[in-house]
Amino acid sequence: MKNKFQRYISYTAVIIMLIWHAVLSAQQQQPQRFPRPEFEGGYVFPERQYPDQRGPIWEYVDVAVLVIALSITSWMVIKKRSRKGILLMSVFSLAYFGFYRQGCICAIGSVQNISLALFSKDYAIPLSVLMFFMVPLLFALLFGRVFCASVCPMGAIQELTGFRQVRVPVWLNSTLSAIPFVYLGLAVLFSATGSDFIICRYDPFVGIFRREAPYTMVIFGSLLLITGIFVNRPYCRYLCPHGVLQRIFSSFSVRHLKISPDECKSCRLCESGCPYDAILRSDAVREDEQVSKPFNGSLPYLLIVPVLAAGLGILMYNLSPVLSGASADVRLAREIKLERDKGIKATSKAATAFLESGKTEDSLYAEEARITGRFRKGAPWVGIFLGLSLGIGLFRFTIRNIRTEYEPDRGRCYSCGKCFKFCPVKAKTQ
Amino acid sequence: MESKEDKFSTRREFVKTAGRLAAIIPLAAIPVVLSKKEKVRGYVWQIDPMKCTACEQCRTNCIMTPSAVKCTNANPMCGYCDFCPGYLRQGAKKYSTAAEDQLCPTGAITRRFVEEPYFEYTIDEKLCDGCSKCVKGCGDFGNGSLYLQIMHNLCQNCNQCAIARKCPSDAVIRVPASRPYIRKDEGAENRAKVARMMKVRPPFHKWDFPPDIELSQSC
Amino acid sequence: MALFKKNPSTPVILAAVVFTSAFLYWIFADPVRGLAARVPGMDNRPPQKPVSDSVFIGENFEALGREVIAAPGDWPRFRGTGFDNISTENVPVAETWDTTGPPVAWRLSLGEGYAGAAVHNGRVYVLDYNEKRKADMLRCFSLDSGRELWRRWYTVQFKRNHGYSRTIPAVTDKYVITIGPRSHVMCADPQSGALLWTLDLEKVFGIPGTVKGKITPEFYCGQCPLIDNGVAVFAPGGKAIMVGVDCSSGKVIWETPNPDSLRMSHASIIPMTIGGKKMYVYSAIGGVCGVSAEDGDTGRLLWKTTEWSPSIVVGSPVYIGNGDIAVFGSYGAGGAVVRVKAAGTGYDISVVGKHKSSEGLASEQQTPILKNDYLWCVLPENAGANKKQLACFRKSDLMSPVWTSGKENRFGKGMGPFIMRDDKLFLLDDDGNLYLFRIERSTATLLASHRVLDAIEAWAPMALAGKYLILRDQRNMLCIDIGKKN
Repeated sequence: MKNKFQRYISYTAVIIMLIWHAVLSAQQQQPQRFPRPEFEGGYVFPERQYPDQRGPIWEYVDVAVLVIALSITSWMVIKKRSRKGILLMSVFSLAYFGFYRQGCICAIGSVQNISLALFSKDYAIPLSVLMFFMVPLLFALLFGRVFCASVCPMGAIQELTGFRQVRVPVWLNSTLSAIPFVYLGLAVLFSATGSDFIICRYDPFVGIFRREAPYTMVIFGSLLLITGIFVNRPYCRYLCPHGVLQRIFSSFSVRHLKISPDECKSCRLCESGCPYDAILRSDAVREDEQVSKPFNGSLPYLLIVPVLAAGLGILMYNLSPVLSGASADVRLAREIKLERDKGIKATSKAATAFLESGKTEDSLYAEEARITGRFRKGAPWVGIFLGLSLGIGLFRFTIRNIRTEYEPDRGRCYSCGKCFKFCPVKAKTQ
Repeated sequence: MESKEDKFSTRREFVKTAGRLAAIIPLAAIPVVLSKKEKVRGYVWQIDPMKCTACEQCRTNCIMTPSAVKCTNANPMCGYCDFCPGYLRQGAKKYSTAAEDQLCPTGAITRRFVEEPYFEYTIDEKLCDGCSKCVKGCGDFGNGSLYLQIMHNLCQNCNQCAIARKCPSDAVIRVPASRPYIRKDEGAENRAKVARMMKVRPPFHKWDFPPDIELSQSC
Repeated sequence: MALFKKNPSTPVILAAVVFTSAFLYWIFADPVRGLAARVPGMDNRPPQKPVSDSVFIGENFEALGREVIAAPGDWPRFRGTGFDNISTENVPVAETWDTTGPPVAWRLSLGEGYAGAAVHNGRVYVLDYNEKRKADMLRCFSLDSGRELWRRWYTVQFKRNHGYSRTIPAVTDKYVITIGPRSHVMCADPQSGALLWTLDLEKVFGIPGTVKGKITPEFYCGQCPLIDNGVAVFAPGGKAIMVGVDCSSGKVIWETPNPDSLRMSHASIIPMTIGGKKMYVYSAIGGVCGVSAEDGDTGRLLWKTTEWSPSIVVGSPVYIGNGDIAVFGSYGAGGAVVRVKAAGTGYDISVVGKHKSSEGLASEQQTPILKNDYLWCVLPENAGANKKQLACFRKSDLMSPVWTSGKENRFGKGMGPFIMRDDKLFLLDDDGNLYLFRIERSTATLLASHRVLDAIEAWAPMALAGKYLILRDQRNMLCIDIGKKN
């Protein structure tokens, strides 16, 4: 009994000491760095609540909405073949991803986050961004460009404002179609080197979604929309970098929109029904034609592919010092160097701030060297990508494709369903 | 003829399958590669008050008008001075609430008498446009309790913050979304916690948040 | 629709009604009804009444020790004997320190504040604020041991506003004079501590019916007293911009009227001789003025200017020769040169070279040191690229430094004190790092540095007496032996 009591005493003593220690250390941990006012009237510091971002659960809601919207569109495009349904989906996407989510979260921009995460040790992306990148491409591989059709808010706003249809001459169309490749290449290069997110910076429509934009963005966006009334989907066709990936993935799609619900009669009624010239004509082998091999005599042209890839790779390598100017650190280092050499006082705000900061010039120059080094490594690969794309695009002209029916060009078709109404063939009822 | 067709279609099928594989392999590889990285809820943009030089760029460069950047007062650091250099214009002869004596161009700072000689300063965020004139005023000689923060109920969390691109002192940085504010009135331990969470260092700007920074260095 | 069909004029009437109501709304709606004018008095500041507290200056005394071992060394007032912050004593300074830093002779803890020490006849005088007793306390210590000899105090209540204590006493062989944070002047015997006389500047020179008599400035009084030929000189503002008090009797012997309502700043009176005329120069809030310090017309206002008037002035004026006085303002106000030229019986005053703190020589609270045509200063936080650096300016050009310590060498928040002897400059940064520089013409070489104190706001001016350097932060005072070892 006595023993037990003694033990309790020692426990209590230990506990009291611990508490006392905690109290003491708590007092010590609040150094009176700032002489606080001596309030006598019992004043308490107001507690400010700092507002948080939307809860993380909403990001998953966005992903779910994306998957559902893509599924419905795929069903509308492939099974239901309903242009009206696709249009309704466009309205929904424009409302939800556009005006409600204000254009961010965005599959088009996510390519930058992905490439930055891949090439930078320090940056990770949340699952939702990864999903926004992967899911649309996965659907493209399965069902064609259903994302472009009516889920992408940028596509939707252009789809809903494309009232007239003006044909673009083939040479112009093909030339302009090269821009997205360059855009994508540069966007990946700039984001992978941690320099800039150009896709977001030059997004034309986000200002409309936010109803808040600098005037340059307003002008650019409205010019595109006005152009789009006549030349449909100008952003998708001649700018969108994500469209390049969609195009590649959709080319190998498992199932794709068909113009005719049943067997094509090659009646030519749909020939002019596509505003994007994405309908490949029926081109069966004629009697007088000698086609033993589709690649007949075209294989030497395949040489153009490596030549172009190497050439553009070298060109981009030589351009890398220019391109590295996209990085603010590189620009600052160059300005400081120049001002030092010429004995000019700091002119830009960044230079002023740098001189005020504790950073040394050597560390800045080291940073510049590191970033330009990354550009030198990355730029040739962008050149090779551009060379390959251009080479393969040119090479494809040499191939004789044999088609017995009118079918959409899987790469370029936006699965918008405008061609449905031109086909006179009725689906056979089972 | 038929065999030729077959040949073409099989070749075409082969190209398609190869293309599909070529497309799906990198697509599948991306999550595998990225899964090695620490899981994050993502980042939000925030101003590091230690690096901010109150250059007024936040007011004009935010895509929002008025800017999502607002001034905030760390009350435990505030001196509650009657002569507040963040509230009163340089050269103001009276310490009053008259417009001609105030420094804030939009009148977003309100002051309230607490007790002799102390005044409480509060920011009306609806009026504040993040011009940082008061931040500079307070930092000149005062405690530096006024500082800028990006308010996340207003911030659109752009992929690339337009202010970050223009910030001359690299003060606009990505911080973990679970700790979206860098508060000056938080203790050193809390700051250390943020710094520890930033094991995944955000790109664009070097994360040189000293883990054991003391409030004194911030003023 | 049916309605429209029955009566074809209905839509017209409807449109007219809509248009009329919209028009009326446009005319009568007040677009600024949500706005409130920003006028004085929105902060609920209560009508301020003059404080009528009865302070018995110097009422309490306590003797603590007696024997004093006379240690050589003299730093009798703010900025030293020559008002230039340069010690002229012939005591060599150690040029290197051990890894443990220069030896600490003694240390003591004080009430929160920024009051520095004065040294005379082997004694150290500090006007402390005792937070427990809520009293201004003049404390006298022995220079070589740091032992307290006596203390004289009086209760005065005021609230902490960036600490309490602020000023450095002025000591001569016969008098020690202090000014408390609430502008209470006390004169005591420097040996025994016996109270000689007192003066409440707020009560005597204050304007009746105003708060603190329009005397004590924001953040309390930071003016250090001046004893010149047995006359104590103060700049109270209020009824008189400057007054002379006979040290032996405590009687006010001259007063300089204050028609421009200049107010007391945190700067101190600096005697200068301009054009052969000795004068007291004071950089007040609202303007700068010069008052004659010569027999015959002592106390006469010689000149004044209101052209230089920052909201807060802490740095004291520095005479840079040729009639030019460098003046400084705080909170980014920067500096300027007041040019005083004798013209007939009076003076021509012009303010030239006004610059912001980012554009040239500036000081938030310390006063630059003039040494051989060069001005030395630690530039403040808001000085742009040169911020928080030790900088040297040619006295003819206060806009562009001829030398700076570089961005690798920045000193705290740029508000710590610095002091000189011969070609040595001691610099204490806000955080308690002490640096020793050698000055050669316009460049400084770092000889040694050591963190002598884990300091908070070490802003008090230092005292350099004999081989001792006395410095402090908010709560600790340190006496450091910086003398050369044999």
